[in-house]
Amino acid sequence: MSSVPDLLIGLSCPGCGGTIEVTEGSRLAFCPYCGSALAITADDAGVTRLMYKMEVTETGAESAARKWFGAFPKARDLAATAVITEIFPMYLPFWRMVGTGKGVACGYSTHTDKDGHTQTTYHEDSSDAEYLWSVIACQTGDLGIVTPPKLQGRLLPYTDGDIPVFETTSSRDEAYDQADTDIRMEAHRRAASGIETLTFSKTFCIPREFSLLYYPYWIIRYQYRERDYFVVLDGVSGSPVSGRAPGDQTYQALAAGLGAGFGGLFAGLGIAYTMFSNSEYALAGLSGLVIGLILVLAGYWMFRFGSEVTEGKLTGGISFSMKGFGQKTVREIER
Amino acid sequence: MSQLRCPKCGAPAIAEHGKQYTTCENCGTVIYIDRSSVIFNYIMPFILDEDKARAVFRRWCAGPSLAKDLEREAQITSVEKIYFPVFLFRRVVGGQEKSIIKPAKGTTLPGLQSQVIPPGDITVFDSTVSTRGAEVIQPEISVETYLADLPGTAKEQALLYLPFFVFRYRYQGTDYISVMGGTSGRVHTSGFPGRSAAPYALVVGGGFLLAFIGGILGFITTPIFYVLVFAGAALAMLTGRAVVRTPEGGDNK
Amino acid sequence: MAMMVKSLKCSSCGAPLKAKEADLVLFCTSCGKTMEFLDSDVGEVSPHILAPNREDKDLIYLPFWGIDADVDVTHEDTVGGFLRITKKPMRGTCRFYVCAADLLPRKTAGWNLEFTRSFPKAAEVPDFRRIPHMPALKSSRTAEKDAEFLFLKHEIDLSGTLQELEYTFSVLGHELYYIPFLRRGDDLSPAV
Repeated sequence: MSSVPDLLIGLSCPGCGGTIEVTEGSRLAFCPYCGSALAITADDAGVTRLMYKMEVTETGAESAARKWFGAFPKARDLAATAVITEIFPMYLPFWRMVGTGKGVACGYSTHTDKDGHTQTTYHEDSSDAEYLWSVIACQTGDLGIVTPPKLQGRLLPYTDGDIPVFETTSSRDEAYDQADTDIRMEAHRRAASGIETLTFSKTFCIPREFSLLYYPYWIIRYQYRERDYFVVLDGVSGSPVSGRAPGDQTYQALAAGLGAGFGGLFAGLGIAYTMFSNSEYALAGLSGLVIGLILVLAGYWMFRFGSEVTEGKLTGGISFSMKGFGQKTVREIER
Repeated sequence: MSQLRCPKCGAPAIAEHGKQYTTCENCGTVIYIDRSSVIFNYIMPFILDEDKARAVFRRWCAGPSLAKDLEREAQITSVEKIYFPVFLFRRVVGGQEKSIIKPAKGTTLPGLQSQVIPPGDITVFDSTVSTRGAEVIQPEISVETYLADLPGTAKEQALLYLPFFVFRYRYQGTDYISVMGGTSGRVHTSGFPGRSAAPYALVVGGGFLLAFIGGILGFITTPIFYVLVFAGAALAMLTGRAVVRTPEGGDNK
Repeated sequence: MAMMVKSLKCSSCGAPLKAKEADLVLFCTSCGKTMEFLDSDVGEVSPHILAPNREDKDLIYLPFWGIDADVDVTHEDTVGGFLRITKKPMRGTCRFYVCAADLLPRKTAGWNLEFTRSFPKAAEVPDFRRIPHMPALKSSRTAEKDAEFLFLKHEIDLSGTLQELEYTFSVLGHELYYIPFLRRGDDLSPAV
């Protein structure tokens, strides 16, 4: 062998030349033909790169986008008049770690019982589970994708240049450290739940795999009244993850009317009930006031900003989708 | 500077962003690239063309926070396509690799001083890359200006040209500038003609007040006052309709 | 993507190492020595294979790392509890057993604790005798963290509620164990 290590695009066995399947996250591989055990060093950053297979076809993406156009509260003529100007696939990089988080927490909690005595409860707890952590590895600008997808679908080894990708802009080391911290925090949170004052705690993160994953999306740009809007679809499930769409003026006016009407009615009834009712529950009328105020504010919000409808984490318009809401970067793995 | 020659056969080789090795296409030699002392030039190609950028600009003008007639009244005086230079430093700080971004030219344009790299695919900027009519802004700040103050040791430094559209427009006698990312269409601006919230608040507030009084009076006197609730709703709906209506439509007539 | 591939060779006789599935423990077909994969190379390790307590066609060997560590507790504060008769605290040189198979913690945690507290007294046999064995996918180095967690887990399982603990945990070495288990459907139970 020469002094320069064998460098391979894809992987072929140095023993027999056969193509090797990469085991996810592994530094050790086995040739399925000759059985040779092989040490793998991923490129200088030591990152395994994998990609998810695009499952949604271009036609599928277009029909999913058209379905999205028709959904409330977008302009009612959007599905009929929108002109799709561009549909292209794009793979976005995500950092991912699979690892075990373990935590031990000791401490005590105090509470006062009905006789006024302070009771101290001592705790010692531990947690031990396997987690999946993932964050996006690039800036997405106005595409508004910030939360990782479910990371489902078929994995393939990633080869440079085969697919259109957005450049990874965060560094591997920072991501690795973040993963370690996040998994330990989650392990600690579970071990320490219910403990008011901590006296001892210790956490461990035992990584099993760390990789850079490319996840497929369809980016669809369309025009409505000469304005350019877009929607981004998940390339595995086909569901919309972010997008901008024109709102509807009739819905805006309706929101103003219904918000004002119902809001005023509830608030008025609530106030009147509180002040003029003889019932011992008269104060319950205040909840009517609160409901009324919420209704009028919701109506105002939709009326004021309803000329644009957004999906995902984008600013500017109104958004009704709960997508990505409460999604955590660390999730427990169930197998 | 991104021209790389194979040390064995002399054929030009391609250095890819972030990769420590490349393979010579001519003789197959593996070339190790020491990136700590040289500066590679990279470029991020535009994803949007000018027509699409104009349409994105119209969409942005029609946004709910901007003046209602901005989309109709704004006169675009010029649209420039530019490649703005930034330095990308990859440094090893305390055993950790960190990316640091610094502008390579002073500018007052909004968004160009931001310390993030927009989404896109970075490729080597050499003579084969066409800028398609975009003006390539030359760096004025030298890399040494930053090097002295950067933490850690150098792993790689690159000059990166990022794509932007610069929109200059005139609205009601005032000139404005907006900068749009050439890949995602994100609009950066330092000032824009805003839309007053007052008519919206007035419409909903007025309707609410009427319905509120109706609710109170209906409860304590006679139910006939509940009519005021409907009046408030109708008032808000009709005046609201007038507030949001734009001349070019949105109506389904 | 740049990936470098290197054939692994037995550190004892130099023959190329072969295997059929992903396993951090490799058996040299030439000299019969056992190798453990560490980052990018291999090192010799001597496996201890325990004899099962019964004959059964559903027996399977699970790999465990036996981590030797020196535990030095400098400060400890426990609230309540009785005399520590049933379970003894672990001090000084201790051996921790950590399952190296690719199984979820909720499955392996119990065995790790059980074996660490009392390791089964069973005869060692020279080979697997046609009983299949699960591949080891946890390296001995990562098992060191599991060992430290085992120590803490044992501490809080002791009588009384642990409040404060200061200690040092220094790893001395490791050994490889294969322990026979009985497989019933998805369930695994030790067969020693």
